[in-house]
Amino acid sequence: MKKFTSEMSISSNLNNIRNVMQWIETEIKSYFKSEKKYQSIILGLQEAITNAIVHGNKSDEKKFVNISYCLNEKLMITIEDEGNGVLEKNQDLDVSKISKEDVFKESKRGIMLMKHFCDEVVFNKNSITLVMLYK
Amino acid sequence: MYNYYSYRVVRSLMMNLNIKKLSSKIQIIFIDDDRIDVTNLKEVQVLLSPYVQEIQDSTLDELELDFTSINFIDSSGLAMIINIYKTLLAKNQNLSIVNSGSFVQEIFNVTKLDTFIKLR
Repeated sequence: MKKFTSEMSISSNLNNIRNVMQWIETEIKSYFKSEKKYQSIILGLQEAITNAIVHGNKSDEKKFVNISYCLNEKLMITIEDEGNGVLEKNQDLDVSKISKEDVFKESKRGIMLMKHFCDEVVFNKNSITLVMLYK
Repeated sequence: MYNYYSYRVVRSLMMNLNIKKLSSKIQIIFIDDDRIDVTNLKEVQVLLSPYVQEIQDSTLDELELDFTSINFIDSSGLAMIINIYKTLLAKNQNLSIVNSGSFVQEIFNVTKLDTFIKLR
């Protein structure tokens, strides 16, 4: 299969997320045979971008979030911000570790959802790469 | 059978709500947008808050959110749902979600919210 790559940059405003989603839908949705798989990567992507804007770039609109993807045998989407990366203790968050006390906390679910719904999540210095076997 | 006594549409720029006020609960049906997420959260909160307040100020038992049109919710949407749940719980009132699709149900399942919030 031919390899596709593309990228997009947005300023750190949550209102820009739907532009990214429209771009991704136009470019890659048709390659997905499973609607569930597509919804899963969209959820992971949305959580990763929100994390990049809010935590990475502290919602500073002068800072940018870069989203790039590579589609061949699998889909890899990298979300890069201008922050310091996800804390190691937060990288370890996992739905299997949710305790009764944690259920009603209103934060920390984004990374858990990313890790549950994507086939692989790789945390880099100031970026997150989501991997999905989409066929 | 509930006593159906009012019905109206609350309008906003994107998400709209159908409101049904029944004898024991308020039923809210989301229409015209298919997601509750960080991109429309403030709008949804503004739309919902008068009804959460109305329930709190009443002797009604339950707020029912109809997710027929919602096929996507993210962590910020879940946080809003948790917040509403906790607000109602303080007055022994219930929050239930009905007609959610399989993907949304899985999100509630994996985050264990389904153990507290009624999904029907």
